[in-house]
Amino acid sequence: MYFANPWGLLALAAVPFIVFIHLFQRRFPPLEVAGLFLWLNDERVKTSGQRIDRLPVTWTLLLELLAATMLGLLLSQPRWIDSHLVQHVVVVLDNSASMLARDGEHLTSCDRAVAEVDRRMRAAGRNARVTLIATGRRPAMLAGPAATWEDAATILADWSPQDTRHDFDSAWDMAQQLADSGQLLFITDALPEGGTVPKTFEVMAFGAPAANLAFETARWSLDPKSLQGNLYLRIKNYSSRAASATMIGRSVDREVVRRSLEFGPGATVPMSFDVPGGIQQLVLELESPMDALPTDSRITLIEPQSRTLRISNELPDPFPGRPAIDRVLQSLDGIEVAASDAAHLRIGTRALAAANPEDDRWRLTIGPIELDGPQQAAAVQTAGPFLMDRRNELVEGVSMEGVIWAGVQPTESIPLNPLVSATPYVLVGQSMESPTPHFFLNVDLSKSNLVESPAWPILINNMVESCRDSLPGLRQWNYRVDELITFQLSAERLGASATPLLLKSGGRERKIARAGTIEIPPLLQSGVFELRDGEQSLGTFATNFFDAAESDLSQLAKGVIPRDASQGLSGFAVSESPQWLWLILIGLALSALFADWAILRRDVRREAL
Amino acid sequence: MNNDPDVRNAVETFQLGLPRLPVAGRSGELLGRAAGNSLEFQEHRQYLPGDDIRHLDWAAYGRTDNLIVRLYREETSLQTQILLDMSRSTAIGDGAKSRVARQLATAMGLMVGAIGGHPTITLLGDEQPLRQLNRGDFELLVSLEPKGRISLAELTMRQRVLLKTHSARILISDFLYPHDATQLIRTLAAGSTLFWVVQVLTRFESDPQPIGGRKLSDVETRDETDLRINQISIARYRSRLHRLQEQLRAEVVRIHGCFVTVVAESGLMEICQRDLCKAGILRPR
Repeated sequence: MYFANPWGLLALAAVPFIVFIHLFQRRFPPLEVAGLFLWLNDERVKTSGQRIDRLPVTWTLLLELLAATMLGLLLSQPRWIDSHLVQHVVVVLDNSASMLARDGEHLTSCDRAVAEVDRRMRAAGRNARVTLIATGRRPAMLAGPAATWEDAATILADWSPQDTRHDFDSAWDMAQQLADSGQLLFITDALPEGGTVPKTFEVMAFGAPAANLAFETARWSLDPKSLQGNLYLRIKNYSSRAASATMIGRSVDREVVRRSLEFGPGATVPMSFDVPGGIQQLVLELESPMDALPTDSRITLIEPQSRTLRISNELPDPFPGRPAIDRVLQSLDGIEVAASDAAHLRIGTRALAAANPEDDRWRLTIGPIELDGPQQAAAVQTAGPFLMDRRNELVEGVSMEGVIWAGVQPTESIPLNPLVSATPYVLVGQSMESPTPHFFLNVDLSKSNLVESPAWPILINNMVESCRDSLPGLRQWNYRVDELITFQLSAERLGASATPLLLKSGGRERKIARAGTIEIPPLLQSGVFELRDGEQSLGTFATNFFDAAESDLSQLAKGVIPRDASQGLSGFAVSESPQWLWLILIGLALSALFADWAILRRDVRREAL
Repeated sequence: MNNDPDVRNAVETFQLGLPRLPVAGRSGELLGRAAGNSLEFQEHRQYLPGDDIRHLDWAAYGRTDNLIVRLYREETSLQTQILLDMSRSTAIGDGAKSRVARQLATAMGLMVGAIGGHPTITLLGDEQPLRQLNRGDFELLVSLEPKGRISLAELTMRQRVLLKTHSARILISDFLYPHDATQLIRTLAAGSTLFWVVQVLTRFESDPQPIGGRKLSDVETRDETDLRINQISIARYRSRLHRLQEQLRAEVVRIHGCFVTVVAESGLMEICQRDLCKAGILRPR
């Protein structure tokens, strides 16, 4: 036997109280007399000085003790355990950020989910076990498998869903594997479409449609010359009604910006404004009574840093294509023309390949590869078809449509990894001999229309940005929560130590393996993070929640989809106390109270005589 | 206590009910009621166990086969010893019992003094030796509170009461303590020329009424018990009290003394007029 409500046993504390009362109570008022011996027989006179009498075992005492015991048992709800039943509840919790949206009662679906699990576990009794699984791109087991409710409740109290929109299938699969014969419960804030949830699940949705305002995007750019910042924001009203809000931006304790905003139904308000340089961090908040979800109404941005790329254009002057190179470089931000020694990227002729092979800087060789000789004579031109390695970021967004690639020379003498080719010629390739990227443009720009096509600036820009990405440090400072974070460690720091780096946020930290290019998987939570190498800070970045699908709360709904009883899993079994037990307990308690009352009443009458 | 209005009123209204004998001298000025050793024959009566066999009238026995005792009037001296119970039991209730007991003792002492006697009041309390007040000290009775825990029976058994021989003796107590009446009275009356006993009770002690359940606590012994004071328990109480009083009365009468019970709440004057005059202890001036 166990007690579904053990606190009810506190009622049994009444038992010693009753004994205490019977032991110490003065039933009659005191009266001092002389000659007590005249009133009583000798044997009834008590010893002088005694103040605590022996407990009188009276019917009243026994009946009151019986009533208190019965009431204590009633309140504690005794249950019988069937030892053959494994009571196990596997709960899949929707970890989407919309679970934190507040409804009309200022409760979140998250609150209601916790209360529902708590209710079920208390009903199941203390021997029941629970497994808690949070959905997400990577489902996480919050508690379990088969944890006690005491342990799980502690973990569940700290649960705060923050994920962007994601599929639940992997979490459902994990739950079914763990459920065995237990009950499967999926708690979310919107009823899934029919048939998407496995029939073995009981589904409970606690959401309610609500108006919401959210940041759709935020970008902080920096003018490398003036070091002044510019913020571009887009804020959306996810409601069918007009809304107003105040946007406040603070840096530490200083208010940097405050805007009053008016939104039409479903409208998006873009804005751009300058921010002073050097403020390092900016927290933007939306204040509006129509904002149900705080998660997407508060973002933290880190001030970007200048990552100027130094480029040396070493093409002879005049040389075909040199003006086109200069034009593109002048149009790009964060570029500085530098001497050959100080450049991160060198652009030149075939002579670059013959330069110091240990030079670890990026290089771009622009054709013709051979200015004379048989290869020059064998050069051809082609209009395609062009084959591009789309995996390489260098050709990202590049379209060769309409391009006449001329001056194409055979490249058998140069081992190249083809990025753009027109069989059998490699048009754009990366040297396989160089440890650092060395690209070849197998083209004669004096004969080709490449520089006049849209592909040309895109190709050069991709190369410049790829080279910029290889510079040490963070490539950007503000990310979405589901975005990959990339960090380039300098060669000096890479070889300086073997200890892992630390990623810190608030009071938490995690180790990051030391590597040249560090890729941190999506952190899936908002916050400010600092990457440290021992005591030295390598960089600080922020992640923010931007997810239009989660910010739109209009589709949230309440509802229940019951489990399909025909499925193989056995139901959740709760051993209820039999009705006759309740009747006996209640009957005994009432009978004892009535009998006690009758005895006391009789005594009062006798006393009156 | 000399200046107590009730006491003064009583002294002015009443005198002790002693037979006067017109003889000269200090001794024999007053005649006691008890049989004594004087030569004045008083009366015959039936022999009772305990009587001095020297006083048997053998001639009468020879004539009648009945044991007859010859009683002689004893001469009393002016020495009067008033024994006042100062145990806690006399302070019960609202203090009426203690007040009346002290008033009685004072009034009787003053009455003795009024006829030229030498009264002393012996306070039967816990003090050892027992405190005695002479006539000039009676006023002290006003401030003396009855606090004794030792009952008169125990004092007597321990022989702590110093009794003056050939003195008139007046005992004032409630007698609400377990005792052997025979031993108590004979001890206290020994050597006295006159022995009066006044039992002072409260009205509740004398005539209790049903008051329901009470936790009774003995003021002297601190014994206690729960009891419903109803008609049944009252009847039992009265029976026991009556037996106690009859035993005392029999012992006192045996020595030609006088026993009377008074109710304190009646007040001194009513007690004197109704109870003590009726018993012959007092008579109007």
